[in-house]
Amino acid sequence: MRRRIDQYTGPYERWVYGDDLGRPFSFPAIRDRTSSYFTALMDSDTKLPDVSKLIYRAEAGAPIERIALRYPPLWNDGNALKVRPFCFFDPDDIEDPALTDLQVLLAELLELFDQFLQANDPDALRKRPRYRVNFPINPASWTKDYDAKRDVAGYTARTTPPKAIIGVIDDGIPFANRTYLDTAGKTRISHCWLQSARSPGAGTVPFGREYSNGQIDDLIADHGGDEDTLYRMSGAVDAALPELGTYIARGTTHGAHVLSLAAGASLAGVEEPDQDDIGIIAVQLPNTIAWDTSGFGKEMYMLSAIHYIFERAKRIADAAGVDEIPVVINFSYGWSGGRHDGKSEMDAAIQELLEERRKLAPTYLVMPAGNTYDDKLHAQLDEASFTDDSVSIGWKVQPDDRTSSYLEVWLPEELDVEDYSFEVTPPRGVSLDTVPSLALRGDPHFPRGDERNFADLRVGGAAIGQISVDRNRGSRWRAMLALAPTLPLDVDLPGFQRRWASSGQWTVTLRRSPTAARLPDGANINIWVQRDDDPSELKTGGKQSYLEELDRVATNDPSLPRYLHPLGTVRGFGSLNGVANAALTTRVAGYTQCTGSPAAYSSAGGLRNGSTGPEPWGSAVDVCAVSDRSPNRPGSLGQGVRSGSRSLLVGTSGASPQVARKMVRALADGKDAFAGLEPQTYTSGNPLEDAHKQARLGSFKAAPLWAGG
Amino acid sequence: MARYGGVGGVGGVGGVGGVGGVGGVGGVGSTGLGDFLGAGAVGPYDPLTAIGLQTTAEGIAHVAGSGDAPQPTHLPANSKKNMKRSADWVRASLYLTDFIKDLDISVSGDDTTLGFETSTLVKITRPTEALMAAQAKWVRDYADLRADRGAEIQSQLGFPTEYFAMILALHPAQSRHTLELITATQVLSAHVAMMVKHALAIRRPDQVDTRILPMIATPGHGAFPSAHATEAHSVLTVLLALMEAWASHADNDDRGKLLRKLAERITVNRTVAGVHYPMDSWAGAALGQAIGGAILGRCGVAHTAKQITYAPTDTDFFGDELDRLIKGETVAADYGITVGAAVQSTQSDVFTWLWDKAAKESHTHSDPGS
Repeated sequence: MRRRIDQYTGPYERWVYGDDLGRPFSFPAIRDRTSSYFTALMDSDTKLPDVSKLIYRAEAGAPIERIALRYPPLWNDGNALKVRPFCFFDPDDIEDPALTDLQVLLAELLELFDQFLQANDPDALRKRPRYRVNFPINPASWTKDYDAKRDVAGYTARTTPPKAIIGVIDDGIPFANRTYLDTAGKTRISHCWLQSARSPGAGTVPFGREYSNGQIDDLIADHGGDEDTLYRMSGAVDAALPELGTYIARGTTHGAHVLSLAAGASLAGVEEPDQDDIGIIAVQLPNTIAWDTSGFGKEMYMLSAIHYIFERAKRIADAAGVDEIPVVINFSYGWSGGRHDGKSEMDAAIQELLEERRKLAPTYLVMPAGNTYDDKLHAQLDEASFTDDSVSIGWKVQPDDRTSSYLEVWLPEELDVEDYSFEVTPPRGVSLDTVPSLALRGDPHFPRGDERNFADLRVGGAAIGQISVDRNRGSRWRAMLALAPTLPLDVDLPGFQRRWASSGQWTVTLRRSPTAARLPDGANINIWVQRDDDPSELKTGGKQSYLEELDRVATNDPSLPRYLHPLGTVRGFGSLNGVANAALTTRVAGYTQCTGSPAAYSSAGGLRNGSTGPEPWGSAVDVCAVSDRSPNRPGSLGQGVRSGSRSLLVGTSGASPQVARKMVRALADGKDAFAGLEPQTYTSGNPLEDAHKQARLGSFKAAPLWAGG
Repeated sequence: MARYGGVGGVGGVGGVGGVGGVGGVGGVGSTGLGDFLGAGAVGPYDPLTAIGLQTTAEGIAHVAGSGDAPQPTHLPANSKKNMKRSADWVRASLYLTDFIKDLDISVSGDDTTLGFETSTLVKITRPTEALMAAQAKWVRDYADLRADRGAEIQSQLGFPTEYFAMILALHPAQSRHTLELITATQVLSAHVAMMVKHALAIRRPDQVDTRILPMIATPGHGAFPSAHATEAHSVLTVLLALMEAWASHADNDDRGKLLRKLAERITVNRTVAGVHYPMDSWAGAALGQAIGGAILGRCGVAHTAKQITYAPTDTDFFGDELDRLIKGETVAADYGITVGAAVQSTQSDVFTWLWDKAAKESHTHSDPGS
């Protein structure tokens, strides 16, 4: 029996890192085990160990003798924060990679880490961290000579410091585009971190490559006449690195579009003041971010990016002799799953960072509402949904899906789940080796981390899925189903067994005893299916699954603006971006410029069926901005990768940066962040319509950046 | 297959004089006389007209009497003065034969040498099978740009004259000889490229790696060197010299940069499409600039084209790096290119006639093409 200290494995980690589970279908860096440098979040109020004592040693002969740690640039050194990003690796494994079972390696490394935390902090047992292990780092991107405190090479403080800073976290950042030059012809981008670029050797970022304003100006001076050459020479294009690739060689990228709307020169002749007083800090995430749209494995990169922007903003403030400078970050990214109560690791991390920094200067994080309103990825159950103490919902999984699919069932935090169980029924005609069923309680074999339990779905002995129950962050129960791709894939891994999940309608069921607790008043069971598409056309082969009511009575067709009560079980209200639920996050929906109506896909805040009408729950849409110019001119208009080129992007990703742009302008002008947005109320006379529009468009509206409609 | 987009507007390229449908005909492959095929010819009469003409002739001929025909005056023999009298396709034959007669191709082991008159244009080493397999990886990577470049690739199946016309603001009404010079250069280059391809006989990438799955039909000739690269770079070389002769654009430098970038882009588009390795682009670009130099020599125009030796290595293709090498600058990587002496060629009547006409088509000339 292999030794496995499962202290870190949540349902995603277990599936994605499991050799005989989902690993063969994961991103190449995990599938092929090309790296020994791992990333993770530590979720604990224990103090961060001193990184200068980089390497810890266990007793000789322990399975893992050494672990080395690295922190990305942390704002305020990560003080007063609970959820923090870090990197870890086994120096012996770097020299001589031996273990190939990722689960074992990770478990043993984290066990060793725990031992040392306890040695350093007598109270560590109580504070015992939860870990979320993320995507590994390509060894070519790992900085050999890293010093977070060193001066950023080539950084030049401008004579007039910025009055506000816009931070943009995205993919494909065209940092040399002339639209980011100030009126003196120098770049406004003070710092730009490409997280997955090849490391130049020494650096002030733990992996990837950083470009300072001085370096960008030099690159433009040297190659500005030919931006293809510039990106090639600067290492922003590298076909040998799958996490970077040749994405920036495209005419436009998601990041090019978003950055231009947040911080580029004004478009279409709209008069705006020059933006010399607004600095730019940009972070380009690895392509792995878009590869797995489920939400797994990216938090460390995302959180490091936010810290980086704050940390570099602090350096700019220090150079200018001020305390902190107002910052607005646009992060046009999200996923559909998650708790949606602001208590996920990422939401908690965002909330505490914004809280801490707001004590010093205005600080905002602007994120899109999401594009899944119409996609049937959310359903809401209430006490009345139960019949004979069970409730079921259908999950349509599409054929030809080459990536894993995930469904999450979140039970109300206040519900006593004693005598509740979670069951899965495969599509008709498919039989599993054993009927999968788990009670909602932890398995005592997992004494550390969240209470949890797992069962594999097997056909002929081969795992084609996994069900799990876990008390996420110790506070809220989740039942989950993960499925393998729906077509046979030939995977080049030793001992790989060809296996695939059946497409068709899967059924998930919650069952309880007659004596089990009922759902409290106003409490709901919420279901989300994870995104499983390919927004940046990275050829992942994802196909989106969706929910379906088993007993389809008259339901609310979300594609039509019909204002019905009650809402159907499967609904767009509550489809909000799963990582934009922190109270302090600003959530942006999309509207159609010429009609003012919500864009059909624009995700909405939650509405539950109250006794007299819809009642909002959870985080809400705050602001809306243009995401389509008209029903037949889809998309927002931005700028492409190369100077002067144009870009169209459909989705709330393009709406969010327009709001960030107006907010940072207001802050630079010394006004309230929302001063440039128009308050809006809904007074149609139809209370249903008003409630729906409030949930979809929020209380503020950003005027279009373009004339006409 | 007809040329996309070119039939109406720049279809005049082949159809100098606006003979209907020529632009369409020209798109048949990129060999033969290319856009010249049939250009300037009146074309066969339709049956009704043929009969009508004869009926008319029989009805009216009697009024011209029945005496002897008068004696004519001679045209000047073997003179460029007759060029203007000739149909476009006839001039095309003259350009082609005037150039090809002085070519000499020789193969020794893995090396193919293309001579012109007494000097060499290029010497190219045949890539190994291992290099072909390695280069297939680049072709797969470039497929990422297919969604971006689809329209360009489809409209550049034939000669991409419209793209050059865009940069130099060419129009058949005022640029007919410039367009003829471009087309002549393309046609010559295509012929020469076929000779070299035939000698080197390199399989297309999709025969090496099935994952390439090209987005267009793989042409019926070898991969190495790329004829698109050859044509684009010979046209580039000729147009840069012509722009200098014109001296009529205040922004000649920028137009030159755009022409260079365009030649590179047309070349790379073929890798995006999945029909060429990057090494085909290096070989083609090197060959093209040498052909461009030889054509300029025929026109009696000074140029900086160089004889090039190319021993392919596993790198991506960069047009700007080739420029630097030709200028004698140092570059970061070993691309397998060795730059030799200047390309030599002697002046000829037919090319000089065409050049002189084109040189008078500057945007500031009072009587373009006079």
